[in-house]
Amino acid sequence: MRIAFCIRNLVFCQLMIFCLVSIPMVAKSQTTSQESEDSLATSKTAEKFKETLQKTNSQRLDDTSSQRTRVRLNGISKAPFISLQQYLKGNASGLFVKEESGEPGSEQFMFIRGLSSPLFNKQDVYGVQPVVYLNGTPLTQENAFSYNIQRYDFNKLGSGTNLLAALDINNIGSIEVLKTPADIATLGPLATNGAIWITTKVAQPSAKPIINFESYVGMLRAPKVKTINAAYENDFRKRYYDAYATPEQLAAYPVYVANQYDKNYYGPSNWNDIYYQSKPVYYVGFGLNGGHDRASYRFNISDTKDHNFDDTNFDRYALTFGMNMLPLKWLTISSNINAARTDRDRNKSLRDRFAETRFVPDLANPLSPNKEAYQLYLDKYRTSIDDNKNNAISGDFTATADIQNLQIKTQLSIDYEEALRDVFWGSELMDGNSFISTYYGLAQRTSIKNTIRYTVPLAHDQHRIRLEAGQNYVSDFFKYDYIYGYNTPNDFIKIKSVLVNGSAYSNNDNIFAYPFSDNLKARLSSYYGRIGYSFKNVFSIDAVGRYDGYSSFSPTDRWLLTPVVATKVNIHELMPHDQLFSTFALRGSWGTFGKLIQDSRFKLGPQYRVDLGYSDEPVIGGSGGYSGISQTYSFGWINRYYNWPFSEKLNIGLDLGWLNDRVILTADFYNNKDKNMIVPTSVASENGFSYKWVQGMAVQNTGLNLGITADILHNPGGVSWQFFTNFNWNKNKLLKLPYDLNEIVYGDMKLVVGKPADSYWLFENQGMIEDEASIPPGRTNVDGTVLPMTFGGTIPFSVGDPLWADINKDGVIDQNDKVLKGHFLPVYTGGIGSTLSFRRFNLDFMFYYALGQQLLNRLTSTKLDFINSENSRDIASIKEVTFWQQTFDYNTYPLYNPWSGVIPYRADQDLFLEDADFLKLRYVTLGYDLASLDYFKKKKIPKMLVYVTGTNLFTLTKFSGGDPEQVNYRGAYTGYALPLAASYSLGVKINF
Amino acid sequence: MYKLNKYIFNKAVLLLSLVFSMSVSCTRQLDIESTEAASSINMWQSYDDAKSGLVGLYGLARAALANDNAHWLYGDLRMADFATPRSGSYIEAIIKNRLNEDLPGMEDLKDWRRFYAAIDACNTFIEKSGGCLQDTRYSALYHKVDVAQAHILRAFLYLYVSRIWGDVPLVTSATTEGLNTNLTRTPQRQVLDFCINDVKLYLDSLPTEYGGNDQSKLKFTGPYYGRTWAQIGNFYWGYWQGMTVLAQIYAWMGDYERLEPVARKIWDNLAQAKTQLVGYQNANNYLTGNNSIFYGNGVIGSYCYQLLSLSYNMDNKESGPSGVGHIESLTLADPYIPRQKPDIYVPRDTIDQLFYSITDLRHPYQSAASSYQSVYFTNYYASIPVLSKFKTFAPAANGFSIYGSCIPLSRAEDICLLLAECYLYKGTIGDAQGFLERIRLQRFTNGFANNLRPLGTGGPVYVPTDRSRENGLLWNIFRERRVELMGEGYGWYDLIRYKKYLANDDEFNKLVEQGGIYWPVSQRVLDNNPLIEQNSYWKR
Repeated sequence: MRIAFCIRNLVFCQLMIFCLVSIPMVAKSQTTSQESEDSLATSKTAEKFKETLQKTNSQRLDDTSSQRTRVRLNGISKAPFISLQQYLKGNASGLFVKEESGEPGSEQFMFIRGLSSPLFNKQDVYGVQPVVYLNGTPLTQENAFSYNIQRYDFNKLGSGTNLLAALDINNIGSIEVLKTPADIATLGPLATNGAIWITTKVAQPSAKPIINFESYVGMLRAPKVKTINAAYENDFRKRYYDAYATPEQLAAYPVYVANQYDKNYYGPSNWNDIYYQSKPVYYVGFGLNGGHDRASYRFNISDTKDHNFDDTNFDRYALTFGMNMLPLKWLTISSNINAARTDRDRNKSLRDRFAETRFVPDLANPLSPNKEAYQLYLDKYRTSIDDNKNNAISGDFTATADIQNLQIKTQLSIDYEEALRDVFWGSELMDGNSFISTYYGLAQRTSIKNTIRYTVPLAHDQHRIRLEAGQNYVSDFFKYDYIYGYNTPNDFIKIKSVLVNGSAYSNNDNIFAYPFSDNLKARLSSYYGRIGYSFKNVFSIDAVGRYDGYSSFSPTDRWLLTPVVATKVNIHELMPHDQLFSTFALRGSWGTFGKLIQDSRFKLGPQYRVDLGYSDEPVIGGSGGYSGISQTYSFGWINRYYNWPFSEKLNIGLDLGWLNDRVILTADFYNNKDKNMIVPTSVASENGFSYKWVQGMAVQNTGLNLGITADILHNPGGVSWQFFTNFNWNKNKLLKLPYDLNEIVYGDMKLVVGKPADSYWLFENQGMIEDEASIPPGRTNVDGTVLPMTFGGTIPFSVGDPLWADINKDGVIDQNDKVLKGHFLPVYTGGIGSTLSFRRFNLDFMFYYALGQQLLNRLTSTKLDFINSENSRDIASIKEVTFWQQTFDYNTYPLYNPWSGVIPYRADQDLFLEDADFLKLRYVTLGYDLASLDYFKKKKIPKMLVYVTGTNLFTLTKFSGGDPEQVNYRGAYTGYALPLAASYSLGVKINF
Repeated sequence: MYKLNKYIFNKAVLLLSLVFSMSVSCTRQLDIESTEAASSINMWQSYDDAKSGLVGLYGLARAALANDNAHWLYGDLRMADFATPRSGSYIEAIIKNRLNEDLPGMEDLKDWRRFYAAIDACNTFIEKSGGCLQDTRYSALYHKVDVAQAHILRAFLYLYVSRIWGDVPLVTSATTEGLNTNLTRTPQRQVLDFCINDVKLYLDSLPTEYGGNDQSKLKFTGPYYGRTWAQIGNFYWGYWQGMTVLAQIYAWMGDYERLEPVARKIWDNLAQAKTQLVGYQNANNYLTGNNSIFYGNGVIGSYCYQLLSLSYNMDNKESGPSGVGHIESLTLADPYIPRQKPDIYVPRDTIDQLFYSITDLRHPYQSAASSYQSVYFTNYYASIPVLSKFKTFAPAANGFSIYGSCIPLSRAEDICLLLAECYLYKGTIGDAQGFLERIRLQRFTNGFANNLRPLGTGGPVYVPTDRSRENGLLWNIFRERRVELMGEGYGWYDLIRYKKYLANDDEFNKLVEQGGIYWPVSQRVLDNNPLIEQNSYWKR
């Protein structure tokens, strides 16, 4: 603890000292730069300095150019996107982005090269996220530990803001997606899930400071929805009541559907006029870049506003300051600071509100579809507060010493992210009570990285031997403080009031509040050594040995030694007279990487925790006025030892270039096996433990990443056409379970060895039981008579029930008859885009697609299962105002008896499994560069681009119920998310 | 220039070596103390471990009974006095004894894991808490008392699970690394016999009260874990709670011969147990008020009216906004909380059948006010009367679903009526009537055989009427239980005991014989342990 503190202090001090020292230095060099302005352009030092700065700072093994991994940004930078995930979606080979909701600033998840571990719950999604490096600084990653105190997992506690929405694309120079063993060899376990390497625009020396200004303003297009009122609902339900209802059931017909004189439900359904109101989105950014032959600086500031329907907004103020110095010929010092503040207005959905208040009120009557009534409801938010703020600051300090063949580099970096949420919902929204909550969360990552490289001087220049050693220390710290309470004195006074009783003061007995606090620490210490050999430009081989220690494993099993080997053969060099190819290289890399775990508690072995809650009240920790502890019965049995899960990665790559590399193809085949992972296995319930957490699960991901870039037409001044595409195929398979189990069941999820880890587990629907005669036979009695088929062995099937396939032919439909079907992550993904330019015009567009995945339409299931969802206090069946739109055609579904005990419209059947393939137009942007106009030429303005952009303009899909992309982490389509709306914007980019 | 170079070089070397040396020392920093959990190696070493382990037992037991309102769904719904307005829901299925259905919400009720979690915690405490004796603050006497509590609680949990599932696996040792894999169902009789012996063995290690003046031989007086009796009430289970558990076991077994002396001893020592019947003076407030005897630890003045319960300490925010774990979350609706209909209610017909006396303090019609008042029931004349007996809102809940009522397991009225049963069984009818009348006397209802005059010589006389005598003494004892203990989780078990006592209902006898009075076990339990068989009645 003390040493960690020291390190933190040290880093801060160094940054502070550095800033103090360097700012006057830059200022000083500014003044001197006036004199030497002319000489600067030709100065050798300056050229070298520029060259140094241009070098990519990622440390891959097999590659000197980052062409292969670099993401194309020129089109996307003209679209009104705000988060890293959005910049990369469909745009980066091997990376799949899941954007569940269009709500600006909400969380989005990324998956590099498939699903390395099954997603048992929402927390697991955080565990498979790639690491993001900003100028070599590993940014802190969200830890999901606050889900431990959450009743519902729709949103992360607190502001729930996507941390990667703090990155302004106009600050970004390049993004690389690192995924092969060679790419991540020196990064180690942090990057086992893949890494995204971002380099901000480099501060470059220039004689005259360059100012750039960028801005756009845009609008969203409201989606076309088919609104309905209770008349539609009545028509829909009547069919079921006519066919099956008993008089008793008929009597229980919900009043809001039945009462045709109720203008709230039978009046005009025009809620969408309010809900889908659009407001402008905009961006204003301003940058300054300048410097001297020994120092350069870059400064950028921007304000971004994003918006979606339901009055959701996102504001971001971002600030970047970067500088580079060459105090000595052999020493480069650079530092970057990125800061952002974001502010988010969240949606007003009932579900998200109740999830925060942990309280589901009487939901007998849904919101009215009527505009006036809906407005009255929205007016109840007048006294409410819902502030969601995030502050992020990350910075690094890097010193590189280049002394002939020796390079020493040290980097200190820190990333600090804090999230705050203040909520107040007044008495009108809370049935006469009120709700108040405050959240403060902090995630911090400090890292120190040192490398030393040496190139062995050999007599013949043909052979080269490179030696490198590195050390890296990463310290993570997470904490949150959260308190929620009910019953403030009134809607305006939100603190506990004090009673004055004569001369005595006492606390009033209002505000019933629950405080929580938790923190988590994890540390990773790594060492690696590398030896590389290359022969001319023909052949190279590198071997890396890593030794990583992580604090979250058992003390005796904390360290892991892993190897990586990477090789490259430049075949083109071997056949120098080859005319066909301009590039022809084969790459291969193999390596093992330790996998980190998010939960720091496994290391303790069998343990005692606070675990006195139950499913509706998971956080009750006290008993008899004291906090009580017990073994981890709810979580499951924890074994004595846990060591590193690891990932064995193989990559074979091929780079081909034709026509002087005007056409470049890169193909990468990979086979990743993630092994020794921790998995919950079943134990006899009589032990009291819900599961047993055992190591030994293995998952394999095999696939192909293909990228093509082609300069099809290249006529400067005339028509040019650059085409680019990426295509990815991934196949996912569960290889092994612990104890040589063949399958495990966890909640509503099943894993079977040899089957994909992202399957749905469903009954197979084969139609409907139309009459008595078609009730399938069940078990045979001893006397030879045959009973009807039963559900779960106890409920006999009857007319109006669905026919589900009896897979094991035992006359009983139960869990054993459910089959694994489909994928919730796509099998094929990719993007196709082009840049066309003609004179001063240029047109960029990109499509992206995901194929081979399915979705489970829970929305339709809930609507059809209205008997059970009407009765339920389940938060997942809450009717939002968006309930009043037609999302499916009920005539296409069989008319089952909704009262049946078998729950005919249960979601876990393939009746609701639908193809979720889609192709979308990500963006199309048309620009016109005014800079070449005489007027601007005279003014010496190098760049003045005016553009119009449209995003999400159309979607091609078989799915009729909405946007197939908007499914949750397990592929369920719930219809709660805000749409990924189409937008139109107009922007400029000016340099002067 | 050279000088400057050297100076900076030195500085750089210094800086780098500093960083390197820091990082080397950092490798030792992989040892991070966890603040959120304690390794089992470090557990059971101190006074605090014993304390938090012990309260953990009660917490886990409470969680098992509170989860999904299990205590009431098990105990009050099946074929008993409650109805539900939610047709098609799992609550309706339970009321109609259609436990085979797989409706959402039922799976958890069929799973006994939470009970076994509490049982395993008891087993662990019994085996391991001795380690805490190395802390001198933890005395041998404390340890003796604490271990005895774990035994009593375990016996109670076994009684509870065997009332629900019949034959259940009897696990009496703590789970170890390997986890038990060979557990089968033990005959119910054997389980209950084990419990009886266990309770008897440990009764004498328990004080009569905690944090006060212990009357037992232990002389366990003074604050217990820093708390006084007024703060504790009967949160921790002592001698009289052990006796009550024993009484409950005998009652469930229908063993009136062994029940009688136990119940009698409790009855004769109510003062020592610091409890009493709720008197007529307080009947309204104590049974139905906001701060009723069910609120918190049940201490009012110098009495704790919860003879046996699992309670929530409301100062410590042990109750949450879902309301689950408190019967109010099932029974309350408008005008108490903004909800149109409750989940369960007692239909008017049943109310009319149960309440035979207009003067009854619990009766919807309150003669004192000459109108229908909100005592046991609110909105009596609505189609769905609200059972408002329980409305223990937390101080700041203000119509919001944070409740403070305990999970009631027994009180003096229960013991009193059990004694009436015993004497009826024994044939001493006068005593049986007498114990029934004791309750009736305090509720201003007509007597069964005697003229009741609760307020002394000048007060009103409640003479027996046709309705107060209808269906005979046994039926009236059980009717009194249905009224007095309404919503306290007795309905179903009392029905079984009543039917078993008479044994003249063929259909019910069949249900008893075939095991239909028990719950099916969940598929999860069956899948996790192939040695467990489904209850035969539900296997059909």
